[in-house]
Amino acid sequence: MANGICEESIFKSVFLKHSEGLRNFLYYKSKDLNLAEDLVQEAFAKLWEKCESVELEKAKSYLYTVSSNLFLNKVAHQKVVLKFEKAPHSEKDEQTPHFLLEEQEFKSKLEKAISDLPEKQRIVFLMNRIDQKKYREIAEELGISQKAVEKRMHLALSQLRKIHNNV
Amino acid sequence: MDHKETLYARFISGELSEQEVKALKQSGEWEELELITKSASELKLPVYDKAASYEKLQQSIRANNKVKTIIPKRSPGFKILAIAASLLLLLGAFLTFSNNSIQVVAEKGENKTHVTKDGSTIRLNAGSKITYTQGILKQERRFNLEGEAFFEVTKGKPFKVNTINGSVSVLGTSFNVKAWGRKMFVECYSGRVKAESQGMESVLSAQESIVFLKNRKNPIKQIKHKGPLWSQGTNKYEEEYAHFVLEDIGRQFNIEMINKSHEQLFTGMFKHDSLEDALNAVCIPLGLKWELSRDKKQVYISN
Repeated sequence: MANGICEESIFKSVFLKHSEGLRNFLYYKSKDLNLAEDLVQEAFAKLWEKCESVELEKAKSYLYTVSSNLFLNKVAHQKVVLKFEKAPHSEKDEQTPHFLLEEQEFKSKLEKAISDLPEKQRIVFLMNRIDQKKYREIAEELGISQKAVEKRMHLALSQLRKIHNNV
Repeated sequence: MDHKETLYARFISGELSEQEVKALKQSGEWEELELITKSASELKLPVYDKAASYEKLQQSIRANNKVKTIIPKRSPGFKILAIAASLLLLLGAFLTFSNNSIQVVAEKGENKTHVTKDGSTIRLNAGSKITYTQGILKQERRFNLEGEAFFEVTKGKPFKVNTINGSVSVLGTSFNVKAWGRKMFVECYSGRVKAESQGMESVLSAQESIVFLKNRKNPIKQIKHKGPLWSQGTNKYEEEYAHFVLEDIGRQFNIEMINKSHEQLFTGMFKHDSLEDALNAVCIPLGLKWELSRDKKQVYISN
């Protein structure tokens, strides 16, 4: 059968479909947004180079594998903290300033705790929470079993509960 | 309980048993988990501009540059590394330059002839597109075709044409492939070709043709002409569905065909020099009427 990825329109649709999820995954992994976006570019450039030998159905797992390897090959990077966009305040305006402060405090503690999670747990947790991916989908992308994903998820939540107890 | 190690995971996916729900609620874990999972799902990442990123990717691919990577901290050996890297870059540029991707498009209403580096000729019929990569390291000559093209192949590495409906590999020869909709039509004029579609294959000798339609393969037929008729300005059909023929007219003259879904079978030909003559040649025998829009961009077909 024809190999579609060498076709620019198909390559583009693969990019539009998977680049954001891939970038998020790499961000969770590296905590470095610029690096994550560079790696996305690099992984897709590799895919284009190899378009004749990668089947369309394999493109997604190819991208996740290649970009993970590219990341591992980078020079050891310094400790960084995962940053999120400043979320808007809660919509309800009847809340007391005290409550708002508490909420803010909780949120920043949560962000810090997520950032400090072990890499494997952090990736699984955020792919599920932010990208709304099902465990099966995450397992497929990371090349591990669904059970392993669920274990990591459980461990991540156990870890995050600890900070909550300290609020 | 061997399920315990995934307990919180199943809290999110809603796969807890009744007892587990009850236990979590009693211990107060339920409320905590709800707060954590909900807050986490409200986290926002910096915006990602897919279109801009794609544009950037295209530019770096077109420029045949390696995509920028992070730069390690400068060390004493940096200069030597830099020189080595720029030599590598030059080599890379040479290799990628000699391995570039080529796209040839015949717009609707035009034919186009393209000669590859090895001297093979590809004539594209109207509205068709061919892409391939050219490289000195390639093991075979491989092309992706959308539409219809006539190939005259020089001797050398294996030559293969992929279409959305199947592929044709050349065993040394000239042939025409037509693949629109769900149909692939192959005519072989000299030498032999192998055509494959949906797991079926046929080897054609000179002056033979075959049609693959959806999951079916029609028997091989004899042909008399020595090259594709379209490249001599004619389309010819034998018991072809009218809508296929009307689509061909549309592509040939760059006209949009309205209401072209007619199921009658057409046997005959049309020439590429006059839209009106072509429409008459097809519509009159089938008892169809046609009307050209004022801006001459559309043709309405009716019974």
